[in-house]
Amino acid sequence: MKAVAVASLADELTTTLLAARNSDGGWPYYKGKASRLEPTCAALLALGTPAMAGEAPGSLDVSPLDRWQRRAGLFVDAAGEVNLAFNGLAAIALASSVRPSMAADLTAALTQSRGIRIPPSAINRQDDTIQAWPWSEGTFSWVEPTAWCLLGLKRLTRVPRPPQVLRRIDDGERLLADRACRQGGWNHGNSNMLGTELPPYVPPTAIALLALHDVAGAPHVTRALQYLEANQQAEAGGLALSLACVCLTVYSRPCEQARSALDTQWRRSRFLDNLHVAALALYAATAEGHRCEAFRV
Amino acid sequence: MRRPLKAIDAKRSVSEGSSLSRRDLLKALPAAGLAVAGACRRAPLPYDPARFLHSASSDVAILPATSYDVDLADMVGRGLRLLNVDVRGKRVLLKPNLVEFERGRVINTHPSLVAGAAEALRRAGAGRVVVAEGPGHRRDIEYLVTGTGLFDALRDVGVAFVDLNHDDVRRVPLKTRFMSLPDLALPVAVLDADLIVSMPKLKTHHWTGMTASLKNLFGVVPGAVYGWPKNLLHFRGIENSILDLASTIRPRLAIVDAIVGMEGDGPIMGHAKPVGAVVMGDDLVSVDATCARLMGLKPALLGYLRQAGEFLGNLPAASIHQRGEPLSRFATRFEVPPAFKALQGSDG
Repeated sequence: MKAVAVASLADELTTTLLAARNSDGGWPYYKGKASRLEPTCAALLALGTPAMAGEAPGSLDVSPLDRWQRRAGLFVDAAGEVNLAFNGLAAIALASSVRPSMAADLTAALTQSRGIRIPPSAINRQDDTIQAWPWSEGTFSWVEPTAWCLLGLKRLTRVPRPPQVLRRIDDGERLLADRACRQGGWNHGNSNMLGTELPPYVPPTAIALLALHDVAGAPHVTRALQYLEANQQAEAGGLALSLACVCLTVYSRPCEQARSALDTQWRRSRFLDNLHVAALALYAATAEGHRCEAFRV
Repeated sequence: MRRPLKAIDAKRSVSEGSSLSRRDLLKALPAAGLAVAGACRRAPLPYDPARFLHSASSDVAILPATSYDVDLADMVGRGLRLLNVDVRGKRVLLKPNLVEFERGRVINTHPSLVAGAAEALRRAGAGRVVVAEGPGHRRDIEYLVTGTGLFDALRDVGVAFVDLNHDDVRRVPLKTRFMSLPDLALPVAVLDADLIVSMPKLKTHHWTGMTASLKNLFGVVPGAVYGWPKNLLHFRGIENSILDLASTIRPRLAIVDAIVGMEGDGPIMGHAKPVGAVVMGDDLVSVDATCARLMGLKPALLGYLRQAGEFLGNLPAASIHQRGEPLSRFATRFEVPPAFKALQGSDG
C-alpha cells in the first residue's frame, strides 16, 4: 500500500510541476508568477533526475539556466538581487549537467563570495570572525546559505581541489561546526542567544548535513544526524519533510516516517501550492530510483 | 473624521519635543536602540517632514474579548464602525504575526481573530480580503500555517493565504532613510493592496522592548530575496527597519490581538499574559503607544516608537481619543526582559 501511495504522490507532483512551468522554461514559487532561481533548479533536478537513472552523469537538462541573467558568474534572481543560497542550489544542478563554462564561472564566484566579518559578539557564544556565505552580498553568514554554497562548491569541484576552493570549504565547514546546536543540528544561524540555547530545525539541519557528508565522522555531524533521524517527521511541512528524506537517503538511514508524512501533508495542504516544495517533494518521493546522487559529495 | 493636520518642524531635531532628557534616554534605552537614536541625532532628518502630514489626534478603540470563543467578527465589525473605517470595494491584505509554532505557546496572532477580522471586513464591503505573511523565523511556512490552525481557520471562511516570502516582488523607493537604503524589493501582494491591516500579537520583544503593529511589518520583507531571519533588516538595524517599512508601506489599520499577549522573553520564548482586549486604530503609532500603556511601558522610551511619533503618527496620550473601553480597564504590567526594566511605568 505504501508503495502505491508514494507512486501516486510522485505522479501528482509531476503533473503539478509540468502544468506550472512558465514559457521561459523556468518555474515560479506559485503558479502564474515569475520564474525564480530556487524553484527552477529544484524542478530541473526533480523532473530531470529520474530520467537519469542508468544514464551517464552530466545528463541533466538545465537549459533554462542558459538564458538566466547572471552577474559576475552568479545567477540573478527577483528584482535584480543575488541570493547566494539559491546559487548554491544552482551549482548542484549544474554539477549534474554539462555546462563547463557556466560551472567554472559559478565556481569562481562562489569561491570569491563571503559574508562580512563582524566584531565579537557579546550576546552569543559564536565565532563571528568566520566568513562563510551570507544570504545576500554584504551581510553576514548564516547556516542555510553556507550549507548550500558549501555543497555546491564541493559538487562542482573535484579532488585535488585548488587551494582557494579548499580555503572556502574550510571556512564553510568551520562555520557549520561553530553554529551547531548543543543538542545536535542547526538553527538558522545562532545556536544560542542571550544565554538561551536555541533549538535545531529540520530544514537547516538537513541541508548542513548534506554539505558535510564527506566529514560524517565529526561529532557535530553525528549528533545532527541523530537529531534528524529522531525528528524526521516533527515538522509537518513539505519543505522539512522533503529535505529530511533527501538527507537521510544520502546517509543511508531509514526515512519511511518522513516519506509517509510527506504524502499525508500533500493530501492535507497541497504544500500551499508552493512549487519549490513540490519539486523537493518529488525528488524525495523518487529517491529510491536516483538515490539522491545530485546531493552527494 | 477629518482633523487638523499636524506639521513637523523640519528644523527641530529628532529628540526635541520629548520631555525626556538625553540622560534619561541613555539610562533607559538598551544598547541596540542607542545606536539608532545616537546616529539620528547627529545626522539630518532621514525623512522629509512634508511627506508625513497627519491628523493632530487619532482614534484608538479598545474592545473587550474575554476569550477567542466570542464572536470576533462581530467585535471587529464594531471596531470598524467606531473608527469610521471605510473598506467598501477595497482590496484588503491582513498581515498577522506568524513567527513560530510550539504547541501551547501563544506566539502568533490567534487564527480565530484573523478569520474574524476577514469576515468583518467582508461584511463591511471589502472587495477582496487575503491573509498574507512572510515569517522571518521559520522558512517552512506550511508547517506554521497548518500547525497553528490558520490553514483550517481560513479554509472555513474561504479566505486565501499569500506567502509573502515567495511572492513576486517589485523594487520600490523607501520614503525614509533610516536604513540608508534607497529602496527595497517588496511583495506585489502588499504593493497592490488598497488597505493593509497590521494584525500583531501583543508581546514583549528582547530586542525592541515590545512588538505590536509597527514591528509586525517585518513580515512583509521577502525572505527569498533577503534571507531568513530577514537578514538584511537585522543587519541594518531592527529599529531603522521598522521605521522605513512603516513609512513606506503605510498600513491604514491595525487590529492587535491582546486577548492573550506574551510577556517575559518575547517574542517567542515568553509566556502567556491574558489582557482580554483587542486594540484597533488607523494610526499605528497611536495604536502601539496605547498598547505600550496597556503593558505598563512608557511609549516615549521605546526607541522606534518615539521616533515614529515624531513624524508618522501621534504618540502622546493627550493626542489619542480612546474609543470603546477605557484603557484603565485593561492596563496591566507585562514582565519585560531585564534590559527593558527602565521602560516600565506610566507616562501620565
